[in-house]
Amino acid sequence: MSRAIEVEKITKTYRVKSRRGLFKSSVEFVEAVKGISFTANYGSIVCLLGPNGAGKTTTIKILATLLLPDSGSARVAGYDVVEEASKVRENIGLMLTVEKGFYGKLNGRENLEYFAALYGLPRNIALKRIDHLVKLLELDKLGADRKLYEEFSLGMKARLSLARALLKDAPILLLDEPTLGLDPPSARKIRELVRDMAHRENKSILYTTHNMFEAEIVCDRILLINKGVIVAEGSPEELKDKIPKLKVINLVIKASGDPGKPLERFTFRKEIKQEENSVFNVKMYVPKPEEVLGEIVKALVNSGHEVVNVRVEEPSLEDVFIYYSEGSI
Amino acid sequence: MSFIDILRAEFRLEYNDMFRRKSVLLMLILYPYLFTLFTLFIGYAGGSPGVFIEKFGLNPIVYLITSSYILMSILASIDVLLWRPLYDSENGTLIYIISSPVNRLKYYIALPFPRYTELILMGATSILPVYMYYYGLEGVLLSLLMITLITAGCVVMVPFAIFIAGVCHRVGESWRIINIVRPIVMILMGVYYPRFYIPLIGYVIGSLIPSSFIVEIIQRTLLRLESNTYLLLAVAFTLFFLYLPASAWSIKAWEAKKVKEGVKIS
Amino acid sequence: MLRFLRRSYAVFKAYFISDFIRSHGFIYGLISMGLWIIMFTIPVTLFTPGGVSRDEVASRIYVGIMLFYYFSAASWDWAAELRWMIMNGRLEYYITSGAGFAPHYFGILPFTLMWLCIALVFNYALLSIVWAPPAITIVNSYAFAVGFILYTVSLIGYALLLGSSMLSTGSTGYFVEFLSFILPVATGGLFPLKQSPEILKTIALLTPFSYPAELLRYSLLGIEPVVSIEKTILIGGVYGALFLILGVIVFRIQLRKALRNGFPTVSLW
Repeated sequence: MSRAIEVEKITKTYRVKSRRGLFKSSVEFVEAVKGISFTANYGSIVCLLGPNGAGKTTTIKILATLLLPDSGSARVAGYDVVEEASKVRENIGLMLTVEKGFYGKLNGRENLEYFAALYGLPRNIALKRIDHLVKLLELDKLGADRKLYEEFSLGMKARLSLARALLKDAPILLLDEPTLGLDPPSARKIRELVRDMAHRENKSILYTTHNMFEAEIVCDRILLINKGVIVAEGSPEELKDKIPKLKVINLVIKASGDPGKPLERFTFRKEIKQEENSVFNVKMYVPKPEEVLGEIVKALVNSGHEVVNVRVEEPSLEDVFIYYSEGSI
Repeated sequence: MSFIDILRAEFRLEYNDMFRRKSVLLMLILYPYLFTLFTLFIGYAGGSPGVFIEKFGLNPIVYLITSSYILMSILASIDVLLWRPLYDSENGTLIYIISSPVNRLKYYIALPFPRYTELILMGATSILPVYMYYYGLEGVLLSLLMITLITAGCVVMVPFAIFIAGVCHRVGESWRIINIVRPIVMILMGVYYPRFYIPLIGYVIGSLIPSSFIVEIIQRTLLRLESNTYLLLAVAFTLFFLYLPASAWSIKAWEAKKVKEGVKIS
Repeated sequence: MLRFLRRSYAVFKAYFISDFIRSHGFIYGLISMGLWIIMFTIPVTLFTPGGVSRDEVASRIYVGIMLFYYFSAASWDWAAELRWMIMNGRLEYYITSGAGFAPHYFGILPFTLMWLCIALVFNYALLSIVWAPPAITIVNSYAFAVGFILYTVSLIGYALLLGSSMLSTGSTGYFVEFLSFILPVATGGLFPLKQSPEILKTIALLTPFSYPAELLRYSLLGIEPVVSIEKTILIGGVYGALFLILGVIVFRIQLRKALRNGFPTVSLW
């Protein structure tokens, strides 16, 4: 079966003009995407995970035919995004910013009917589909099918946005940070539905997020993207396995003074965070915790600090990301 | 926070905005001419400039450029008061302004000050060249007088505009109400059609608007009609002070309503 | 074809419910615009000699208002709506729907015509109160129909040109306002060209709007155009069609530019 999404070395540079005064202005070139390549299959969720400004939205927009790449090629459902844009549009469901994109003075159902007509869905099919989606996303329970969009909460807006993406029952979904700003129940609902779409309905879903936790639980495959480049890819477990074998020593300390001082002689990467008045959380990334843990605790106790709790953990996806984006943990 | 601090902040905001959107600066210069042309050619539809000169002894271009300058100046200075609450609401800055300790009346009075400098620039690019063309050196002095009068006209409008803003923004979709209030105010002030020619009822209602007296002074001066300049100026400034408590109440009441409802970002 | 009509109807319905039924923007906008028009047009009385029929003056103002309103609708409803779509985040979904922009313009057109009719009734009443009832009769229905169609075609071309600048630069509202004031003046929209200075006649006849405007004035007021009726129809038709084609071409180019550079963020005003 052909791949759902095929991206080959696409680049995109923005020309940004900023005014410095009445007659002065400067032009900067921002490379948003620098030659990224990846593929996505049907029946799977691929996640573009990266911080703000990494190039996630730019990539989604290129695949959604909203932005022309400067070079490289991309195919969605087998169609080229530049040469066959109209065919691509027939095969995608799109979800961009959650908080706008609808008519404020129309209710949820009216908005969906409008977009269904724009998508060319015959009226009887559109109405059936809208009824199904309203129930699936619990828009009826929230009153979103009758309330005006301008009165919606953020959770309702997100659900309506997802409903629009699903209107066409397209085989490929492009979802840009679909749970951004949502409360946990709403975010969970969206994530569950997304997983359902991929695995039960064999859709291909490209999902962008900067939330490590979310990427770990939703996605089958993760593409770590930073500064326009894919720095690593694989399943969450594969990514964690790729970094040099490091464990995390996690200490909770009641400190009398600066807890960092006695730890200065240990050259491992450390993170020291003050939790309360004199309570600190210290994380140290070490290859062999069994060799150094005793020394660390001794150094802290000898300096007058109290070690309240000690844990040794596996590195998280956040650690993986920091490793790939900063070169080390 | 002193008045000077507020002024400094507003000047910085206004000038940064203007320098980064040169179209705004361009429009300030072009709009008086645009409106002059527009009304002049409407005049062509009904008659001729010759008739105007015969009736009033004044070139219609001089009259209309002055009217357009009055319109733009007063709109520029009251708009910043009428639209600011809405602008802050859309931007998400309203919550920070409401929760700040700044004296509200001082804050709103300070808002149009940067605009006064812009309207002086507008005067220099609109009425000054036209007056110079028609009246020579006398025209320069006349235009300076007009600019001074119009600036005074904008200043006396401030409490009135604050009062209107506070009242209008208490309703939903207030910007639609304001879009009706603005032309009514301009008509009653007699910006293009002198208010001393309109029916008495219109004149009386228009007298509630402080700058209508200053507009009257300007038009009587241009048309070389008799006018009790000092009395009209005194009435305008009296109204300025009379509207101050109403404006303070209006803004306070609007803010109280906002806080009761919950300050949202539009 | 059916799909195209269904899409256009969806645009019309969304716009109608949203802007007319639910937001009252229609009514408020009408009142506001009517008042501004009165403010700008009443000074005409300062230019009219004594003894001239007030009805006749009112008629000329009324026809000028009609042409100005239609021009404004093209600026603010057809072109500037794209700006609203960018601000409200709807434009990107509209593009990815694959509907194209034809249903957008086709859907808004009936709403505009409806608004125009109501606005003209309102302004008739306002003008009657403030000045005198305009004495309007259709002197030549053929000229009226042709003039109206040609004016619509030219305005669609204009809206495409203006709309395309919205797409690629997010033009400020000031720019649109400037155009919507200056162009009706410069293109002979507001007053009979016969009475205007030579320079303005020349400029106006270089634009596609003045020909249908002259036809409409002739059909409603009986004022002969500056060139013969037949020539006015011929030149107006050819010119209008070319202008429309130009609008479509420029729109496509600017859309491609926006897809290349990304859609602009637009300021509040």
